[in-house]
Amino acid sequence: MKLKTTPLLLMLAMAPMSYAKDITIGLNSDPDALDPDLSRTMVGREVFTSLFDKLIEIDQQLNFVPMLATSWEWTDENKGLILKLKQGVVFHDGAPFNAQAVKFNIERSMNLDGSRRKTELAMVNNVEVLDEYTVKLNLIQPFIPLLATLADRSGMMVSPLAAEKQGKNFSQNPIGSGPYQFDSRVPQDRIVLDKFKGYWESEHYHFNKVTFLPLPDSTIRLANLKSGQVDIAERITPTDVESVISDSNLHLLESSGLGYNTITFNLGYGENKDKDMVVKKPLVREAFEYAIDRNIINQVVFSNQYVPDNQWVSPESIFYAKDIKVPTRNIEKAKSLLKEAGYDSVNIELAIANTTEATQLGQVIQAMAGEAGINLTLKTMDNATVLDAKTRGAYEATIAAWSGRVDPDSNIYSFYGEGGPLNENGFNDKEIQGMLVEARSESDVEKRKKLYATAMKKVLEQRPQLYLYHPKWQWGVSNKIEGFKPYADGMPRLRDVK
Amino acid sequence: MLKFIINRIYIAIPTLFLISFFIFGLQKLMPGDPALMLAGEDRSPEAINYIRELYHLNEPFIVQYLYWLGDVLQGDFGTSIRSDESVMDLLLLKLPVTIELSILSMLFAILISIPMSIIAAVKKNSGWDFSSSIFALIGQSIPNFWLGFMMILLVSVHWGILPASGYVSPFESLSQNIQTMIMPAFVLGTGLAATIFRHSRGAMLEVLAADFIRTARAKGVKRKTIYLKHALRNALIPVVTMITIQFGELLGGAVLTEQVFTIPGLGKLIVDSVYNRDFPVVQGIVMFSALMFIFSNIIADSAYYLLDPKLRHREVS
Repeated sequence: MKLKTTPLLLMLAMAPMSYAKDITIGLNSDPDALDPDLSRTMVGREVFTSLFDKLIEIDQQLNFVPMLATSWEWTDENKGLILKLKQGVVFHDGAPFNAQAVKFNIERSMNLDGSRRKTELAMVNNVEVLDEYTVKLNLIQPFIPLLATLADRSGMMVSPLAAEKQGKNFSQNPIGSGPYQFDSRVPQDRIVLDKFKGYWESEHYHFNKVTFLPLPDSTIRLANLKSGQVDIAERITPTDVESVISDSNLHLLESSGLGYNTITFNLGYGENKDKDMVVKKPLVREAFEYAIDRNIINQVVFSNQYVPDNQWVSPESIFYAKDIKVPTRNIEKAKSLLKEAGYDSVNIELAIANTTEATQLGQVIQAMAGEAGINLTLKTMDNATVLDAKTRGAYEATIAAWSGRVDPDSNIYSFYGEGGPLNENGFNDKEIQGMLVEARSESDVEKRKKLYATAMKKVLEQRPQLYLYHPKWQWGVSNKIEGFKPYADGMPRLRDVK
Repeated sequence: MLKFIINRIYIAIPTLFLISFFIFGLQKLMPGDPALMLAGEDRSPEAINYIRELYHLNEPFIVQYLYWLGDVLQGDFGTSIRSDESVMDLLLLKLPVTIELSILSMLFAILISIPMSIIAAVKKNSGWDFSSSIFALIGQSIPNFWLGFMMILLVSVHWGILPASGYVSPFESLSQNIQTMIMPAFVLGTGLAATIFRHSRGAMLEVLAADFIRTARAKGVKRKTIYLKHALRNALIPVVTMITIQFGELLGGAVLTEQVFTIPGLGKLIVDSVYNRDFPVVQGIVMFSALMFIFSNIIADSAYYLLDPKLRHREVS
């Protein structure tokens, strides 16, 4: 008898309970190293948002606002950035935050073996401590996007004491100055943070414990949200949005993202440099653009949730060129452009990743392009293989994504700038490259806007890539949670969340 | 007996060598460069070069293999390219989870299938026999991941009585541990139960038709004794072999079930590692799984010895 009732009682006693004082967030994958200088994943940044303070923060409108730096100004013709620092801030291990700590951090990001921050700080020559709470970054060349860099992982401050003491093992026990401190981590299972009592804005943070659960499958993530195991689930897929909205215990919060997805054409790069490919002809690429309808893609693949567009910044950015129109689908025009290029029909191989979403996207594009005589062969491969093919230039066309940054420079310079590490389709236009260099050294926002708009028009004429849409960040949130605000960078900020 | 086991271990050593070489080679044949996967979205050339040098990715295949082998012979299975943790630590961290899941699901499977098969065999062609055969058919044909999804939707989302996924160590909280393990063990167990049921029912039927059972019956031995002592014991020989081998397979990680229930065991680790081209981890887990498989084979063979007097006598003579 006892044997029979025990499991039943156990099950009843163990029915899920909710603790208003704790919060659990479902992430879409397991973060990598918990060290801002070694990290490369977005989910890692999401955890860092609670663990590390940054020098500069962004608000919901993407303006730069103070965090550990209370104010900043450009000097020396934009080759120097002076930052005034907040006083009275301590790291989780008690080490004080001051100008020395900033110098240590920036130098660590620039020099640490394997640091992923080297490229974005390449313009920094040295860091000068002016007084205990003032620091100056001296640059090799004027580089305005540095502010955005300091509002991301390069601007996250780790405890110098802990970093020196722990060396390579820092990521096993990361110490920052954020509102929550590291408690424990089980790889691929959970990351647990505790409230940091000594935080300078402690009264705005209301949870005792923050748990991050990596739940890679979107259906499982949603199931966990619905059953109450997680309070917030990130990256709800567009097809699940309806199910979140219709659930009376949940609500959906969204923000347009900074990223974009494209069709990238190989114009003569890497292994296919000298290969005879139709995508090398501008007329064929133009025909391709007229053959597809971005709205249909959005309807069919993303349940109308994303933002169909043809620019590399989202419509909400101040750098968005409002006078540029998204071309509408025109099969006749596409056919006549093909004719002009000397073809009745063309064959193009499109390399895509084997995820459900990418496959659907490929199929929709294939169907639309086919009507104009552009016959696409979909070459489906796993993600690592697509990436490999892209870097080697062993592709004709592929679907690519960029998660997006606050400053437009980081959305574009690596792709079209001279020697950019992501220029993997061989598009080298000296005029555009000149504009991009000018724009990154120009501190006047209006002038920058003009430069980017002109560069954008030039790119859209030549079509090295076809920009398709901007994804959105969509969060499923339990009704027990109040005050959660979605940000365009997709980071879960827990300030004033209850 | 001892000689027999030692003999098997001797054979296992070159097998392991061959496996390690093949896995290493196959992984290198896979397209995709771990350095690219790990350099981050902006793939800075410095980061890529650093990773390639650190893990000898620029060296020829055979040199990489020798590096790996040299380290393994000193007891070092390398470090994960992705998380920078030692492969051995990762294995030791994930192993208890997989072992627990394996034991629970096997226990569940045996508890259901063995009694069911005895009754089914004894009451051949009865309603019970028929319905348990249908159960076995269903159990074998439903894919684990589908059953897992359905269980989550019903038990966690709809009823809300068990957590949908995750894992809590029994040392942290036994009750939460059991909660998280019930569904995965059930899902994994039903498939296993079906397989075991089919084997043991067949074996039972065969034994029940044997001469010595008829003799026992003629001598008036009690039915219970005939079924449980004479028939079952003999019928179990092939079943035990199968169970041990299945268990060895389970220890290699239940890939789909662990994925669905987000259980941080070996199965989930190996899938994630393959996607990230985390070669040292894949190599480590495959070697470990191979070892477990060989080991469970040896155990199965030894169990044969213990259960089957004929084999023991053959050795003596």
